[in-house]
Amino acid sequence: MTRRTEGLGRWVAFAAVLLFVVALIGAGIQLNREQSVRFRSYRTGVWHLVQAQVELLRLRDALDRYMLHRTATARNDLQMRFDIFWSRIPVVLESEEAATIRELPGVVPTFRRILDDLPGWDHELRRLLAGEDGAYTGLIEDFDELVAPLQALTHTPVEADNLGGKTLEARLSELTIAFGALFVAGAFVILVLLRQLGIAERLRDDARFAAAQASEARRHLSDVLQSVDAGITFVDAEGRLQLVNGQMRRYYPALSDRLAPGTNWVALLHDSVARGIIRTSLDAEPWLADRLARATGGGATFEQELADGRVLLIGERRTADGGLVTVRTDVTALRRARVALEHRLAAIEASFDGIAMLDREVRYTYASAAFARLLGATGAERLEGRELERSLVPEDRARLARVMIPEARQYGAWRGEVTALRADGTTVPIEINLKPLPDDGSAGASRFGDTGGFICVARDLTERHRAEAAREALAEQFHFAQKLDALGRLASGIAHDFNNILAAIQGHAAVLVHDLRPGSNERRIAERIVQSGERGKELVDQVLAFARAESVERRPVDLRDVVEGMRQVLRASVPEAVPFEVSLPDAAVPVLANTTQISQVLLNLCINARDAIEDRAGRIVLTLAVVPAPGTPGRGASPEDYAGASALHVGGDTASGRTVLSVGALAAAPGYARLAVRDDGCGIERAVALRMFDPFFTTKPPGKGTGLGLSAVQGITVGHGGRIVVDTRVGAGTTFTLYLPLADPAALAEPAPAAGRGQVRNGIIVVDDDELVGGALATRLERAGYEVSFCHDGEEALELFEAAPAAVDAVVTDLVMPGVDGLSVARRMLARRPDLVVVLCTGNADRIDREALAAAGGAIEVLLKPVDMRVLRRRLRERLDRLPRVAAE
Amino acid sequence: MGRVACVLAVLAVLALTLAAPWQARAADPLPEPRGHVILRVTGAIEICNEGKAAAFDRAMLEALPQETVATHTPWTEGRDTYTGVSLATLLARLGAHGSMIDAAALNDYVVNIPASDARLGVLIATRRNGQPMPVRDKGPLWIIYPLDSQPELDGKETRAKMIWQLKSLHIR
Repeated sequence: MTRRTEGLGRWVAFAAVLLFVVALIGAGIQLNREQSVRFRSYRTGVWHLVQAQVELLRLRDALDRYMLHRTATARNDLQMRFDIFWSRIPVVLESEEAATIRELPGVVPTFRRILDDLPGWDHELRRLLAGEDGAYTGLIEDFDELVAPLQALTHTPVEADNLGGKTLEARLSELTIAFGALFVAGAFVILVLLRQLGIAERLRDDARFAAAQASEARRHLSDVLQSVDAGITFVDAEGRLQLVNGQMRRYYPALSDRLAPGTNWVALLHDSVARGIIRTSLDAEPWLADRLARATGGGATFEQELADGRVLLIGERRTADGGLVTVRTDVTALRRARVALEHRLAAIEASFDGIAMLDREVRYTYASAAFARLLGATGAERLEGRELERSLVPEDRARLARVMIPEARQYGAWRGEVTALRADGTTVPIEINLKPLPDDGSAGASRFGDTGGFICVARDLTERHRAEAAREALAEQFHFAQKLDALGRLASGIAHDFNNILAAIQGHAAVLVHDLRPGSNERRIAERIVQSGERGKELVDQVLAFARAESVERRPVDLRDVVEGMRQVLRASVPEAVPFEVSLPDAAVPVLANTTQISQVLLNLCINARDAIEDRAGRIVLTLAVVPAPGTPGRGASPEDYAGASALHVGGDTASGRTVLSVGALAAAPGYARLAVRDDGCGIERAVALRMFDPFFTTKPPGKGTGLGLSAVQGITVGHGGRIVVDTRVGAGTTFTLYLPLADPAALAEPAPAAGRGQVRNGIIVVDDDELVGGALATRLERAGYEVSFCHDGEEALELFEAAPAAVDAVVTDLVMPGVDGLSVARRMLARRPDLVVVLCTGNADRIDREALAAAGGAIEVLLKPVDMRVLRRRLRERLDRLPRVAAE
Repeated sequence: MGRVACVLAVLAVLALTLAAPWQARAADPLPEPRGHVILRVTGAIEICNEGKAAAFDRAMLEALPQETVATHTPWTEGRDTYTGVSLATLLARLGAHGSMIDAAALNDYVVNIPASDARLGVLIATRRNGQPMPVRDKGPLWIIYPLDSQPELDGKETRAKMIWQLKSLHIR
């Protein structure tokens, strides 16, 4: 059907419906009106019929009354009744109201006959009223004759009024119902027709709309496919490329000539690998097989690397009809970002610091390996999901909520020390840096505020604490050394001057002893002076020993000899009630040492041991042994003995009252001599032990100790490159153990004995601005068999030397003198006599300009004041004996 | 004050002009009927000439202001011109003050007519097409409603009120 005829049909149908409805309504109205008119006219018609009959009866009555009473009233009444009856007849015959009743059979003929008779009756009535009674009979007969038919006419409708009226009503109702049914049926048919027409039209419209929509959708789809940022292909069930968009060609520029509908897909794949577009380690055929295998299932998603470095994410899905939709997306940037992220994650994982991420509830969302290790959460113990506060000791948990998190939020970071609770229950001090992250945007507030999570960086502070402790110990030691240095400078200054005085006293006293008669009273006094001088000198030596330990001269000695030499002295210093045991090894103990100082150390230690024992029944044991160097196999010493490089170390434990203290760093050596002095005395309390090496510190009553004994022991030992270990327990005793580096045993060989004393008289010039010191020295050298000239200053000495240089074999000069100093004297003399033996005496070896000494040439001996005569004599002897020219006497 | 007096004066003049004829007519005594009495009015009326009733012969009725209504009726063929006194005029002439009128016919048919119907231009017709109406032709008086000029009046009630061979009116 064309659209035109469709429209026409619709209009025709519409018009027909309209016509039908109008006709129906018109008919309905007409029916209704007719019904009502007919009904009404029937009623009124009957009424008029009855009225006519009633008036006829009244007329007859009026006629009879007139015949009985011929009054005026009766006459008028009769006349009026006749008129009234007359008036009734045309009403029935003509009026609209009686139209229905006229249809009743007999009504019209009857009334027409009455109408025809009326003029006749009028005439007869006039005659009657005029007095002709004979008219009465005719009238009354006519009237009576009329009563029956009128009554009959009236009866029919009146009887029927009840029955017929109802019948009429029923008939009308039936008619109405029929009409209604017809109306409903017609309306239904029309509605159905209209509805069918409407449905048909709507279907047509829908179809047109759907077609338009489909067309638009196709256009949109095409636009979308072309503009979408992904390569899209569709391969039909036969393996032909059906659809390919622009992005796809841009992804594979080298294949764009083949990327067109109709291309065989497998051939296309083959080309893509054959042309080297795709990066693969496989050959074309195996690659193709693998690629096709991916596409055979329902679909797959995988990444493809192209030769130019780009990475495409490929998603393939099978359609219901066996086609294959493939979507390619360039994920190169994503891949790079992922790799960068992985690298950064690796960096985080590689960090020595533990790094963790926390959510807004301060629960771990990530913890690096270092972090987990720090908290001991290894293996199955995962930190993720747990609260940070569970990793803290209870004291720090409160701080976390009250201080750390609020401050981190307020200042952008919180950094500080906390104590972490490890998984195994142990604690570890850590430093953490808590840095809030931006709000993660998730709704709701956490109990720590409504912002984002945190980054937590944690560092193990154990090492740092240890290092800090070590640094503090070093600082303490440095202060200790500084204190000793200051005291040493002070002491050496005093000792230098004091030594000069002592040298003079001793020198002169020695002269007196020599000159005075043996056994005389004067000589005993002189000898006392010498002894007192010796003791004074020892005191000064102790001061110097602690102060300038390195200044003393050392030579290889067998420690056994030193101990043996001191044995009697030591035994004598200890009360006889106290057993004194000495244990010496069989082999020599070669040590580069100063015999005097070692003796002094032994004496000090034994006296301290004696004082510690006091009245107890204790004993003193002195042992000497050789121990191997640390790390040497077979060494039997405990670590506390001598291991460790730290200069001052305190150990032991306070509860048992034991203190282990070690001082001095051992010089490297193949082995060490261990010299121990043990007593069963009262022991040393820790507080005392810590200070016992301080100079002038003493626990002994005044006059009994100088407070320099152990200072000297420490100074001497350290000066020898040794180490002291003190192991003491209150009430149990103390052991002082000295470790001294072993020397080369070969060095123990004694030098050749000197030539007989007095056989050679070498000329010696002694120069000293201090006449007492120089005089005493000169006197003692003379006693030793030398030809001695004493000069008070450098000029005098040089004059003397210039006068007879050959007569002078040696010169012993003070270093510091007014005018020409000792070094200048030595230099000038050496310039003249390079083989001259020069001995420089000085109170302080540090003051010597070593370079000047070396520049002076020759071999200059340096001796510390106060000059030990034995050392001086030995040196002179050694040097003078080697002189080529032996002075002949 | 002057303006109020002026308004009052105007109102008084108007009242006199309009009310005077009514009052004059209402006050006029009704003459005695000299001919055959064709209408008798009883009930709530002020002017009477026969005891408590007002009796009219044809001349008296025709002496009253006459009006004409042209209409058809269900009982006649075609349109006729009826002449007579209007119900309103008659009631006013008698100083009637009721709300309902019981109208009776020669055959003692009675129908109730609301006094308010007087406003509809109801006529007590004495002539049809200029001719007096005999009893034989629905005379002598016939109450005519102007069915043609006011078609909405046509109906069962109005037809019942259009009483012919009118004999009397009782105002109540």
